[in-house]
Formats: sequence, C-alpha cells, structure tokens
Amino acid sequence: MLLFVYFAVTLAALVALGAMIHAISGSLAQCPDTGRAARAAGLTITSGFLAMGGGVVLLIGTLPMIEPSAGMALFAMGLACLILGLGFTQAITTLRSVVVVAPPKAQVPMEPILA
Amino acid sequence: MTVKLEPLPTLDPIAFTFALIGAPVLVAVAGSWVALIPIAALIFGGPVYLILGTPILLWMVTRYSPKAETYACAGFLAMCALITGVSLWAAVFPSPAFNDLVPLSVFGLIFAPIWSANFVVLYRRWYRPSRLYPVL
Repeated sequence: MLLFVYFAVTLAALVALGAMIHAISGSLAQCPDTGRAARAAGLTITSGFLAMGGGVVLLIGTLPMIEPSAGMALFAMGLACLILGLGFTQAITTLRSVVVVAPPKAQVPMEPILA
Repeated sequence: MTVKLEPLPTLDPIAFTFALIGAPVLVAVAGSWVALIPIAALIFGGPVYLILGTPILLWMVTRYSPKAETYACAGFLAMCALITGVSLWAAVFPSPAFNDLVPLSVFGLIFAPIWSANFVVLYRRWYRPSRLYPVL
C-alpha cells in the first residue's frame, strides 16, 4: 500500500511541476520580443522535464519495492521530490536564460532612396 | 471551428449535467473495443467520479479556461490525492477490502484525465449562456 502512496505522491508532483513549467513558459511567451523563443524552449524543457522526471520516479520506485517499509517509502518520496524540485529549478533557470539571451528581431534594412 | 479559450464565467447547469454524465459514457462507447476496459471503468469508477469529480469540476468550470489539458491535469492530480488518501488509510488500518480496491484505483490514473478532458470538451461545446438569461 505504501508503494501506491509513493507513486501517487511523486506522479502528482511530476505532473504539477510540469504543468507549472508549461504555465510559466506560457506567460513568458506573452513577450512580443522573445515570446517565440520562450514558447519553443518551453515545449522542449517541459518534454525533457517530464521524461527525466518519469525516469526518476520509476528508478526511485524500485527502492520501496525492494524493501517495503514505511521508512523506505518516506525516504523514496523525499528523494524523488528533492530530485524533481532540483529539475524544476534547473528548468526554470534554463527557460529564463533562453529569454534573456534571445537575439532581438532582425532589423530589416531600409531601402535606399534613389533620388 | 474556432475554440474560445476564455474562462466561461457563468455556470450552465444543463451543459454541466449533460457533459458530466456524457463524458464517461462517451469514452465507454468509443473505447468499448479495448477489452471492455472502459465499460468496466464506468461501472467501478463512475460513482467515484460522480462523488469526487462533481464538486471539483463545479469549482473549476468557472475559474479555469476550458482547455482539455488543464482539466486532464486536474483530474490526474485529484486521482493522485484520492489514491494517496485511500492507500494511507489502508496502510494504517489494514483490511482485506483494500487489497483489491487500491490496485484497481490505478486505472483511475488513466481514466480520470480522459474523462475530465472529455467533460470540458463537451461542456465547451454545449455551453450556451443565452439560456441563462430571460428573453425579454
């Protein structure tokens, strides 16, 4: 039963953090200058976070399977939440850096006036 | 068809009721070829969906934009919370009744997002604020 608690809690954290990254990238995409970069990076980063976070949940899920006890379930939940949170901060940092260093729109050279 | 993504501020009870009941039934009808799993999910999960899903969807429907992914996430999170509560209860107070119930609830993690997303698609389709105001 504690295995179910572990999976419910960590999957909820994974989905909630992924939705939060998606929402943050959506609000960063409102910017007229760097919005396109933010939208593209948001999709990439959200997919990567979900894939890596799913891997983390599955990998750490082996711990309470090997030793089914309350202490191991708590340890696994804490470890998974810690790793997911670290991945979340990394994702947000990457997202912000993408917005900061996004090059400005290309300046269209004006046509010369032929007098 | 253009999809409006603004929040729908006024509750339409008729659309809500029909979408609430229609969403799982539609999934069951459309997916009945998958080894009858959606129909079994309708039988086992329907009461849980009506008891737990109705207040959550009532609360969400006037506050969040009617996007399928938002509601799918909400359904998944609600199901995760339910499984956490039930399995904590089962771990603290063990009973043979939980031995089948808790593993069965894992199917809810699949069907809750599908039903919630389907609900909001149907609700958005059937939403008609004009029927809420008297015609003068």
